[in-house]
Amino acid sequence: MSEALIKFDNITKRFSLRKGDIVAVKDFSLEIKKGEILTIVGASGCGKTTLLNMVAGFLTPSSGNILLDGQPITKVEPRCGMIFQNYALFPWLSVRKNVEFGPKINGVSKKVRREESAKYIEMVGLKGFEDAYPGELSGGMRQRTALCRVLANKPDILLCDEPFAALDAMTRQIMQQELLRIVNESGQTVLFITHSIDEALILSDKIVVMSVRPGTVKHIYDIELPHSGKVEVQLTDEYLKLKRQIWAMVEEEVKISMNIVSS
Amino acid sequence: MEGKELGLWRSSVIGAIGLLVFLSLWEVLVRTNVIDPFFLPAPTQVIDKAIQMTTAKDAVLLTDIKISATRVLTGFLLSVFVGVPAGLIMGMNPVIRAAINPIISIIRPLPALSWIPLSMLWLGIDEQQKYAIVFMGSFASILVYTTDATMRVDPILRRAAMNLGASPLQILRYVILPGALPDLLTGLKVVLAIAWTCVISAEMVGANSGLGFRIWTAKEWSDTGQVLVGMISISVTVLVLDILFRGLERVLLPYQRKTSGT
Amino acid sequence: MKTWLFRITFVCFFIIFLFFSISCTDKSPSNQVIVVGSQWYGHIPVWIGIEKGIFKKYGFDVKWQFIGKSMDRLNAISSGDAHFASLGEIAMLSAMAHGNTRFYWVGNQDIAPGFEGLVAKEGITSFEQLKGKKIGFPFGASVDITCRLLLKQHGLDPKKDVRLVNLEVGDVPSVFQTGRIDAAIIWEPGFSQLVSIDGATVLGMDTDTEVYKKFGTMTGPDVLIINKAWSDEDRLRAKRFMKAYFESLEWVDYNPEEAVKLIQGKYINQDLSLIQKNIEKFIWHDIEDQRRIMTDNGIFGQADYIIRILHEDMKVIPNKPDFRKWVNLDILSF
Repeated sequence: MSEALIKFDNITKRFSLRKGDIVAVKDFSLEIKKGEILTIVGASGCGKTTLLNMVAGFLTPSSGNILLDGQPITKVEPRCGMIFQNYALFPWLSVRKNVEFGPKINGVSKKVRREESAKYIEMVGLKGFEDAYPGELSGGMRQRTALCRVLANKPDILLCDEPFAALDAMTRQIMQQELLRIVNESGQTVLFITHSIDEALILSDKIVVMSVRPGTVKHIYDIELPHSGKVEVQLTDEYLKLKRQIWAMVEEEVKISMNIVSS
Repeated sequence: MEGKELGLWRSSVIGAIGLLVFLSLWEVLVRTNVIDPFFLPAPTQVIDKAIQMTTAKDAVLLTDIKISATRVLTGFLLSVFVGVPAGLIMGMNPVIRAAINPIISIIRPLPALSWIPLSMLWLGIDEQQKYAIVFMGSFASILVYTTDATMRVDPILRRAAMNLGASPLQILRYVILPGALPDLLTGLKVVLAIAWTCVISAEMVGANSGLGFRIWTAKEWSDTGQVLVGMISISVTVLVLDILFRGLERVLLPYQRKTSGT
Repeated sequence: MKTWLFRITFVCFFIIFLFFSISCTDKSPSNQVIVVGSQWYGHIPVWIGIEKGIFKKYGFDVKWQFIGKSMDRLNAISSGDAHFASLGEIAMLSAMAHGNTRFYWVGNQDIAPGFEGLVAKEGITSFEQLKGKKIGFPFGASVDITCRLLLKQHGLDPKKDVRLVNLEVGDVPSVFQTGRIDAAIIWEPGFSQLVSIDGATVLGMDTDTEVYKKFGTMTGPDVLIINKAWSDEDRLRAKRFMKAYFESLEWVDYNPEEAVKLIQGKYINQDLSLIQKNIEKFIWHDIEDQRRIMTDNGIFGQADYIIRILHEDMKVIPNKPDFRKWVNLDILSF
């Protein structure tokens, strides 16, 4: 298991609120291998976003370490590129300038920057929109730009925080396929968070189902469905069986969390 | 539907009609002696006075505008140079913000006029005193607008920049500053108009030129027409500056024009 | 729909209430007279009239209100909020030239020359040394003309040879003291403050001007102004008021020392001895004097002269007003 790119080593995260402490994540351990697409699913409030923010370095665990290539993550980590649900694009920069933002502040020369951005823009299918501002783009195109911006910064792992949640169903499907294509092309490692079981099944090599508050690993599924991203996969028996299993597990957690909320 | 825009051409035509009706009504009321012309001269009389003040041998109006503009813009730019960096720091650092806020809350509501005694004591009656009046009248507002603009920058953008490897200084330069710019420019536009209202206070003492001075002396000589010319000149100057400012906004914020309406 | 109706009704009531309260406050008792003025000695008759109960004797409830500047006083009278005031002749003539017809000119209560002068700071002892220097005073006041006349008499062009600086009346002594202006010209009580500053030199007085030499008055004599509408509304009341005023003036004329004691500290913040000394120079014009003074041989000739200066030399008034149309001496015959 030495090839683990990310290792969660018995992570606990507590938040102090006025009403008292809340344990968002408890004794969470998990490994993500290089080249793997791992998805965490769970009811809302299960601490999956907290986990992602800890990997990115926005939050630090209350106890335990998250290791990136064997080194604990202690500050905001550019090697863990984050894709936000609301795109988080700089509205005053064109698509090209958004994509070049990372290379620019990391001191990459203008010429190299331009070549690389062109390459990635073409990869995500935004050629011809280099000079458009984010405000002029559709939601799907904005998320492509965000993906492109992170890729251009050459991260070791892609962290995706429900990136397609704000998109309409059709755009979402297309974006899922696109993400798969791009990730397969580049061999990126991906840690993906979603509450859509379909999305998880389509994208992942591995699905982690989390329990709610405190968030821990409830079950890990290895998925061996064909990764074409084609819609047809969703009609196979195997797919439906997995979906039913995972849904049963998640449903249980959702009910627990709702009881907690209502009590 | 209620907030629907009329379009530039239609709204300016309607605006012009409104203005014309207002001026005609004013003219008629004065000409029929419903209003004593000593209390309020008719628009045509004001125009006469303005022409006289711009074309006579010792014409003063244009010089007055120039001098007042110099005073206002100097004071205003001083405020910008001090207020914008301070506002950025306050917007980004909650500790400094908490420490400075009460002081600003005390200074901000003070009218420019109230600074006359102290400014004279400290700076005398020369130009510095006039800059100081405008400065004190606009500084706190600029600080507050900048702080607000900085705080309104979406924190997710800061996170995104950090995630891409930006240092705090780079975040300030590449994220906070451009992110705050639209609100900041809107704020500066408002404060520039506020700065112009200070010109009356600034030119109350120790001045012998400028629009504010012209209004004050016209009052001493009971010259209501000249008072009105002075007042209208201030309005027109602010209006012209506003248009110039809009141009500046278009240059600095090209993305806003392109993406408006989405 | 109900709340909408309620709001409209509420707003309507509020507006009606506002109008009602405004119209109520406007109705002041008919025997109340608002008199406005500054700390200048020329207002002593009014103060004495109040303090000695002379106005009360005639059935008036006189309220004194401080307004420092002549033109502000005139505007207060023109608006109808004040009824009577003494103010500088120059403000009055200027208002006439600009078509203000809401007042009568009813008298000139005193001659008090020698109360305003041009004072230079240490190191300046002659007019020649004033060249290129800053002179501060309130623009548009009598000192505006006194200063110009004095400069011209000594061969200096007020526009080119010196820098004139507009100052508030009350600011003149303090600004002069800090040395930020080289000279200042102001009337009492400010004048005494200027003279008392170390090294200050009096370069010239209003008595040095051609106006004094020709007419024996100060540059801007004190004039008495009364609101026209208020006078026309009740002629007898106006006459009765003027009678009370001149009775007070006579009392001041005969009892100057006692008068000063009554008003010092309440209306003027100056040393008793200084007021006593200054008041000796005052020549009060009683009701008999008015018939002699309010003529072409009296102050009218001087007014014509000042109007010429204002219109032709200083170009601050657009015409030469026929001030005789504003004069109302009928009010003084009782």
